[in-house]
Amino acid sequence: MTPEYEAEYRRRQRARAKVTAWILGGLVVLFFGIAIARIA
Amino acid sequence: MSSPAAPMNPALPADWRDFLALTKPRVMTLVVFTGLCGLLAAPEHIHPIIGFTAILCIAVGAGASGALNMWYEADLDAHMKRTRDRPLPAGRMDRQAAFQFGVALAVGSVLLMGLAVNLLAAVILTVSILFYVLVYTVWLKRRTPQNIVIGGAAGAFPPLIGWVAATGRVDLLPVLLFLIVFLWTPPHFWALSLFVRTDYAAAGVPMLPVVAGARTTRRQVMLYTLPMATAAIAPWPLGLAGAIYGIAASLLSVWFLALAVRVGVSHESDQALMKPERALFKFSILYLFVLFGALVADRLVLA
Repeated sequence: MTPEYEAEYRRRQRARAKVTAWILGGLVVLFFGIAIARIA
Repeated sequence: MSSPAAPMNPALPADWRDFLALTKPRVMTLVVFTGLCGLLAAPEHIHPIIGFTAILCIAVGAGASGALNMWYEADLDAHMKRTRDRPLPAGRMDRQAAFQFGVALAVGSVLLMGLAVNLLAAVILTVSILFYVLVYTVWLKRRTPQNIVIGGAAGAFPPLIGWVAATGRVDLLPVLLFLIVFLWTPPHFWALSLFVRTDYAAAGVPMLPVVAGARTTRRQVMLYTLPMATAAIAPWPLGLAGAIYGIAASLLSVWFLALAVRVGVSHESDQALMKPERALFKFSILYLFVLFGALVADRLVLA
């Protein structure tokens, strides 16, 4: 693997991990909101 | 003596933007808007968080349909100028990842809709995804020039789902909204297919201008505009919408019809010079946005 390839590989991995974390965080907030709305 | 082997790089993982592109965000805009209008036009109150969840599920379901469509049509997309830069034909993503992504979105959106909103909305969302993927993409698109006539039903579900999410039942008005989008799809897509005909022909897609020629397509654009306009105006005389919607629908439909007639009587064969066709295509998008926006405004005023 070339250094450029490895750097790009890591950059994409990091970006995907960040997006996944944001989506999961959003879902946690959404599920909490749904639970509150359902109880109300 | 053999030279040392060059370092081999395995395929890069797809960028997150490519996953986003799989969901066809521009198509999703219209889907979200019509779904939201269906939800807002409904006579029942819905909790804002449940309403947001319903719209999210509609958007994610549409994204799933788009991803599975691109997964199935990767070979076709590679032949068309308009689609050859999509993640799969451009080689930026492997097909298995696209398939898994599409299935995950579909299952997730339906489950969330069923658990958080209501079962009927989840059932209709399932039907809309399966209809787009199996009936339109797999079955009709490569086989018949009527592909978008029947396939248009897939794009017509969102306002119905939005309404059902709020009310839990199917009424006459959301059925009319379904009918409007269903009848709007042929003139919208045939206007496009007239000025990108060579693209469709190169990919072997039997769109109407490719199979039956431009003259037949132009006539069909005019013919389909008439029932579409009738369906669009119908909620007013039926007492399902007020004057704000009725006047907006009438004016918009007359304008649509005028543009459709321009397309119908045109004999232009040079795709680069097809201005009426481009004008109709652009206006058809605006038509749906304004029509549904007028319905919501009307319902809010009546409320």
